[in-house]
Amino acid sequence: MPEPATDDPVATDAEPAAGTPAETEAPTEPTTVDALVEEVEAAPTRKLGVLGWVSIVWLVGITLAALLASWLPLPDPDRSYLEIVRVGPVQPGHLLGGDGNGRDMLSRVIFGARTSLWISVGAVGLGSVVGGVLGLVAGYFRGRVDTVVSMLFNVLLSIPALVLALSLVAVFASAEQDVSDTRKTNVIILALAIVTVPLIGRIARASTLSWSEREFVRAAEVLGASHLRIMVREVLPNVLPAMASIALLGIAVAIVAEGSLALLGVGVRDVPSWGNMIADGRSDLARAPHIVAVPSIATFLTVMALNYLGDVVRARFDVREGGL
Amino acid sequence: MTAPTESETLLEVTDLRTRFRTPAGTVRAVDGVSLTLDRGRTLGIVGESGSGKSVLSRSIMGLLPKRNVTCEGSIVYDGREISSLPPAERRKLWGADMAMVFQDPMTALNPVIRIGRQITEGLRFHLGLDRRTANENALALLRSVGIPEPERRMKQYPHELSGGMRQRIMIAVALACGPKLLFADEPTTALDVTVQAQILNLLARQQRERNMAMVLVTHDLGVVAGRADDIAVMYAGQIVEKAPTATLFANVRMPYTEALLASIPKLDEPRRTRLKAIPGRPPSLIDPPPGCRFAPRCPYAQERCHREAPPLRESEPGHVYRCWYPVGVEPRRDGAADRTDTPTPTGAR
Amino acid sequence: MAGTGTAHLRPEDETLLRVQDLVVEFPAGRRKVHAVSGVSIDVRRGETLGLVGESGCGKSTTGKAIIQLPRPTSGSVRFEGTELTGLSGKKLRDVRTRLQLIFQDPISSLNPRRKVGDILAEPLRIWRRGDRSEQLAKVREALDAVGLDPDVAMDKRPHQFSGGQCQRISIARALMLEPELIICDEPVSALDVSVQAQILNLLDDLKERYDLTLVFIAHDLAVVRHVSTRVAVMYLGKLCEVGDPDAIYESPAHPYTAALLASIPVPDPAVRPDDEDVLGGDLPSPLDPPSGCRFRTRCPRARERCAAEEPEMRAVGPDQFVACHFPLVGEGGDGAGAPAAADGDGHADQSARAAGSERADGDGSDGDGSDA
Ligand SMILES: Nc1ncnc2c1ncn2[C@@H]1O[C@H](COP(=O)(O)OP(=O)(O)OP(=O)(O)O)[C@@H](O)[C@H]1O
Ligand SMILES: Nc1ncnc2c1ncn2[C@@H]1O[C@H](COP(=O)(O)OP(=O)(O)OP(=O)(O)O)[C@@H](O)[C@H]1O
Ligand code: SF4
Ligand SMILES: [Mg+2]
Ligand SMILES: [Mg+2]
Repeated sequence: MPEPATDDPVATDAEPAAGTPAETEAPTEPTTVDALVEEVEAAPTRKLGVLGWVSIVWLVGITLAALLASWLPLPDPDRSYLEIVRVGPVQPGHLLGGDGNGRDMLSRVIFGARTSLWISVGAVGLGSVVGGVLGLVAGYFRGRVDTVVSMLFNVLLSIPALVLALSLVAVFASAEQDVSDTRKTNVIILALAIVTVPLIGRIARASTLSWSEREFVRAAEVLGASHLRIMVREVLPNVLPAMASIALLGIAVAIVAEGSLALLGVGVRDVPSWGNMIADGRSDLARAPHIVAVPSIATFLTVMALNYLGDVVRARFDVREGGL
Repeated sequence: MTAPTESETLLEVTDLRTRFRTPAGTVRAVDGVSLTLDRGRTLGIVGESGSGKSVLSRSIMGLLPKRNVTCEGSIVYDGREISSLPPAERRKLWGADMAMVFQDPMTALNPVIRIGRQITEGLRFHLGLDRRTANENALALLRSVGIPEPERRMKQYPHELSGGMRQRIMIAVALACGPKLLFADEPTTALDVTVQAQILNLLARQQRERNMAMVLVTHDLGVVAGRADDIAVMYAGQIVEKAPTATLFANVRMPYTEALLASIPKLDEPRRTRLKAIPGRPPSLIDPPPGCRFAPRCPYAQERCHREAPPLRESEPGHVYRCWYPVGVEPRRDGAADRTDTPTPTGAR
Repeated sequence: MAGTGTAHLRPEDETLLRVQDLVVEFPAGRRKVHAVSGVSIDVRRGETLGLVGESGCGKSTTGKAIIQLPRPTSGSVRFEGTELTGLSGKKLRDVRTRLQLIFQDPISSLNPRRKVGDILAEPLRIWRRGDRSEQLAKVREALDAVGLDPDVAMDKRPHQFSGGQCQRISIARALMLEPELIICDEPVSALDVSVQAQILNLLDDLKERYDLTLVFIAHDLAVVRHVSTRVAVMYLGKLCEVGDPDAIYESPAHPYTAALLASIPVPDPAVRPDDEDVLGGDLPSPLDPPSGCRFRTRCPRARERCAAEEPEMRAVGPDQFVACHFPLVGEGGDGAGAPAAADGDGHADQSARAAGSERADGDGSDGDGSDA
């Protein structure tokens, strides 16, 4: 069906002579039939569904908890309570039990969320801005700009993420330098952001390439819009959904990456993070599996939720494009 | 074009109704269509975009989507009721019995498969030919649809060909297994006039040579005027007028057909005359108007038209139409007074 | 045919737009796509020029080159005496406000993520014309002018409209900056006949109402006839025939024009199209266009001379110009022994019909395999 039969009464398609809107047509319907058709067929993926809502609730909950951690009635995450050393969940006053040093697991997992989310969201946010701008510029102007930017992306992509992070930490925040944790966090964010840049950038570039082929971009040019305006107003809104879905997945990957860095011993040390909690719990895995399990489950749920929402965003985006 | 006329009926469709369930309601895309087609003859189906032409051809072929569709009515093909057959049985009819040339040759051909394989596939599947014979047949076919250097084309991919060339390939694919009935769903809408003429000529030649029946779908009455034996005009899911071609053009009864004819730019009119456009747009198929579906746009509509749906009436043998106040029938109006009450929509004149 | 020359151009001071020897080439690997090769056209204020030709012959490319998008490879485009090919930056953007283009594909020329009201207000925002309420008023006026109800249409997005309605929206957008000249690139080719008539009438009305000059691109001579005051026929990057529509439709001088006319389906069952193709084969590849006259590989009248020598545009009537060695009207080939004179003059219609069968063997070997 090449031309959708619009069934909504927008137009008074009659002759426009003398500017009289001609006779009105009957019933009001929200969308074209074809759009509806697509809606039905794509329903399973497009709708948020129960899982979608669960994901959103989890993510909002964990984010709020992380943000408000200092004001919540939680025990100090660094204080040791002898009675709960390696004790499993559900203790009076210590819902999730304690870790190898007797520190409160619930408190630590919430403070840990703060670090883990800050690192991953910060890294992906920074990476998305840089990658997005580079990709947009490369895809829009093409030619030499594109060649250079694409090469940069390829170079960045060929650096193994962990090696990059390890070397950055080693150079800028090594243990000998006795640096503050903030600095270490920033270095890790930077390292992960560098890894994110080409991932987001390539998506942005590919998407920009195809969208800026569309005639509405030419049309804006004919109307006299500047390149900047066209990129921001016409192209970017169409590129964002693709970037958003990748960014959500990117956050999930960054959370895991932070964990891996912690396991390798280069993560943040002084404040809890899900990664260093897991790393710390390894030695007690047999005796007190909950020390590893609690942050692992938190990581797992967050990653799942992000992946699921990323898919929903992408599905929505695909349908919209298909409907055009 | 005219082919040896056997009175033997190849296809008989009775009261076909195809509905799509959508969240906004049920789309009655085909709403009670009946038609018959004899062997070797051509039926032209004409109508605006969205009038249900493609859905009608697809319903007869059995090519509808699986979900949220109901299709009722009887389809007798070659003496056999096929509407109740299971999908697997109907699929066996494709190729050797009925075939279809699609509206958009680019999307209908698989972009990553060479032309040659797309043609030989059907031959090998339906006719059980071995690779060599299938290849030879395919070459002969490509030659017969007017493709120069068929050997080279067989190795090419669809995007390497021009639009007209692709449509020829589509026709070759459709003709591969020698169907008795060919649906050509707007085969030339995506092409320009010179190529359109070539493709229509090609279809006519092939049809004559193979004594094949054809359903030629288009939105342009000009395309079917010289090429179809009968013409059915569709509007909002229904056939609103059907007649042998000459009769139809000589005695248009349905105001919609008249309006469609008037909107075609013609070469013999004085230059820069205003075209007679049909005001407004076709009605919603979810909730069509209660009376005549064309009434909101019809220059002759009267009160009764908006209230009561006109039945399909016969004016002379083989000429049916759906209108209370047909064009050219006297006394035409219930009363002249009625007409002056109804303002003619702007631009209809 | 399909030749160069500027005999058909009118004095420059009379024209609003004058395009001379326009050449547009696209790189294709090591070779070049000769999309437009030396096209000259001019348009007077208030005129409607119909530019007609087969798909791929370079009509859109010509239209886009006029507004310098992309810049032509060579040639001159003068708009009200200003040479556009040299302009850049702000000056070019300024000129473009007076020179608008309506794109071929109505749906893809509208940003799917923006609301219609937004799309229409954009040109005014770019040029900071008026305040918010003035802009809004102008948007409503334009929507109204193209026959859409502003109250309903403003807040919808393009995909909620049919093809015909999207075309109306593009037309409204082109009107926003009150241009003097609008280039309409096949505004109706993607539409149904009934909707096509609505849009053609609409363009005609708007032309009156806003005092516009139009360049109207189409592949169908019948469509152009209703709107044009002058017609130019293009083939494979070159012009074939230019002139007054009455003369051209009455007695086409170029064999290609005749073929185009004969291909138009006639809504009359008495006119049974014969099965012979009026015009066989496909358009030759613009990568490697034929020597001499570009039409010769498909031309029923082609002779040796057509392969050797490129025809120049010349007058065959008061306002009819043709680039062909052996035109269907006029005194045949210019000079002695022109074989066309015998069967050519005056019988344009018959020649067109007969074109398919009397195909003289030009040395065009390929592209011409469709007679079975
Ligand atoms: N799968 C589907 N689900 C719901 N509605 C559908 C579906 N397919 C088609 N329709 C609707 O059925 C109606 C008839 O569509 P159809 O494609 O037959 O029109 P058409 O006459 O072939 O038009 P065109 O000239 O544009 O091809 C349209 O309103 C269309 O939106
Ligand atoms: N950007 C481009 N790069 C390479 N080749 C191009 C480009 N744009 C157009 N062409 C080629 O130039 C030729 C002319 O194209 P153009 O789009 O102007 O044709 P047209 O007459 O508008 O055809 P249609 O009726 O299909 O729109 C074609 O062969 C086309 O493939
Ligand atoms: S029934 Fe009435 S509204 Fe319908 S076509 Fe006939 S005159 Fe027009
Ligand atoms: Mg269709
Ligand atoms: Mg074009």
